[in-house]
Amino acid sequence: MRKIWALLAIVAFILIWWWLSASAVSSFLPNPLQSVQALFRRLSAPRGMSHVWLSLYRVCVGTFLGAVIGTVLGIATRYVKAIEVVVRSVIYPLLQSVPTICWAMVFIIWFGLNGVAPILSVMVAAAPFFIINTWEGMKELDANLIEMASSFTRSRFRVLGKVVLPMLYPYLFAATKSGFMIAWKIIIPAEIFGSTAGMGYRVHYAFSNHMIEDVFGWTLAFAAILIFFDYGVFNLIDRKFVRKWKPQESKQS
Amino acid sequence: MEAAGIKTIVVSDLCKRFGWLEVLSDINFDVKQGELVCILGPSGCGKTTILRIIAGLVPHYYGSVLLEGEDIRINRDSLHNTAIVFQEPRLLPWRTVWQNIRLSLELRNKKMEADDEQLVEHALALVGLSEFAKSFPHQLSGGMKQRVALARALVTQPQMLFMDEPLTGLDLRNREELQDEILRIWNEKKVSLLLVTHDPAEAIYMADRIIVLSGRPSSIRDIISVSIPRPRPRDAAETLALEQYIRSLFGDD
Repeated sequence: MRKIWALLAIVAFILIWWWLSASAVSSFLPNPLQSVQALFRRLSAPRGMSHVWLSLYRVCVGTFLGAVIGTVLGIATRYVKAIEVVVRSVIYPLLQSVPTICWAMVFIIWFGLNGVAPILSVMVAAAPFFIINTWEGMKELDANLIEMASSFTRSRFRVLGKVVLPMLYPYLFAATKSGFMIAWKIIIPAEIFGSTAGMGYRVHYAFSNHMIEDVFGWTLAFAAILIFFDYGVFNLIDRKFVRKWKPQESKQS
Repeated sequence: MEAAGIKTIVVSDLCKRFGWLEVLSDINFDVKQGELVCILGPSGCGKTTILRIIAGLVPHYYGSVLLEGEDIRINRDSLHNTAIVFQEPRLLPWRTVWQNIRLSLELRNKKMEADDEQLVEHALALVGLSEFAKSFPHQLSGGMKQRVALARALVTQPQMLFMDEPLTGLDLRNREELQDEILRIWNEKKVSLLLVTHDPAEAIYMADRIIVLSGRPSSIRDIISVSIPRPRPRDAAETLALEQYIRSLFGDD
């Protein structure tokens, strides 16, 4: 029943869009079909898909770098006091408060228009999610399980690998999901400023040349990609793997 | 039962404070090779703390603990011949029974060895859970979980086995069943077994010697050798008289 209502809402949305575009404002609002057609024209052009792949590649690499840095920093705060102070009072607030677009500009100043800047922008946008989720996970870490593991070994490294990291997996998954979604939202402006290729570059090109149908077409593409990853990829992984992983009741028998 | 007479565990002048609060005062006792010793005391008397100190899990204390003649503060190698079973099973929820037992080997050894799989199988058989190898902890009853924890300790082939109220969370039937099972394994493996409990009946049923703790800070009230031949009756006059005497020691504070 919920699905039927959701479907109806989507159909209604498309109809209203269509109706609006058919009225006086049509030159500023192409109808859905025109937008989709424009998108497919662009994608089927020579090297058309390459912009999509490039943006996807940047999002993945940037999120991955952010994941590594964020997770390492997040875990290190637990073990090294100095790192905790630096991360909590400088790095994390800085990452949280500086608008990502400013990071993008800084990276363009440093690295130019060679495509490094968008990746680094995605990285700084994604990293805080990994820091905060790692902290969250650390708070919930079962001290009993860690004590049990430490009773068998003196190697903190082995305890980290066999017990602490696996306990963090659900939190890292949540961070990957939020980080990846944010990455898609930040890659577009980052590419508008700092790249000569990619979906952000293309939508900006269309915008500058008053190709309104193309602007709407690309916008639909962004939405479609996000929805695909949210429902198609992450929800599937969540249902198949992550829920099994979460501690049911490890405290008492 | 005190056949060999070699002292595997020697605790001398042990004192422990938490801040200003003195919890243990002047604890002296030993455990001979292959002996089953119970540390018995009312809850909150610090008996678990003694066990945790001997197991090398508490860094700060006064006095000394010798395992196989080596002070654990100077040479921690002898801790490799120990294993501990906690009050809660402390199993990793994302690992199967088999993998949970294997964990202690993974933590203890840098590399897995060829016969490790056989060790796991043997430990699993010893606690009678062979057909549950592939089950996850949440599919097991409380008693079964504690058996897995026991197998996880046994798989490292310890000379000294420490148990911290391992049967407290279980119902009476499970508790008596596991008492017998622990006795059987202790007999078969010839380990020195140090068992913490608050239940006088349990101590009388199982122990060669009972160390009775009481008072604030806790000190040793008496060390009782139990010479009733095994298998011991659970409610013979002799047992009940002993239990009454122990309870009278508890009542002092």
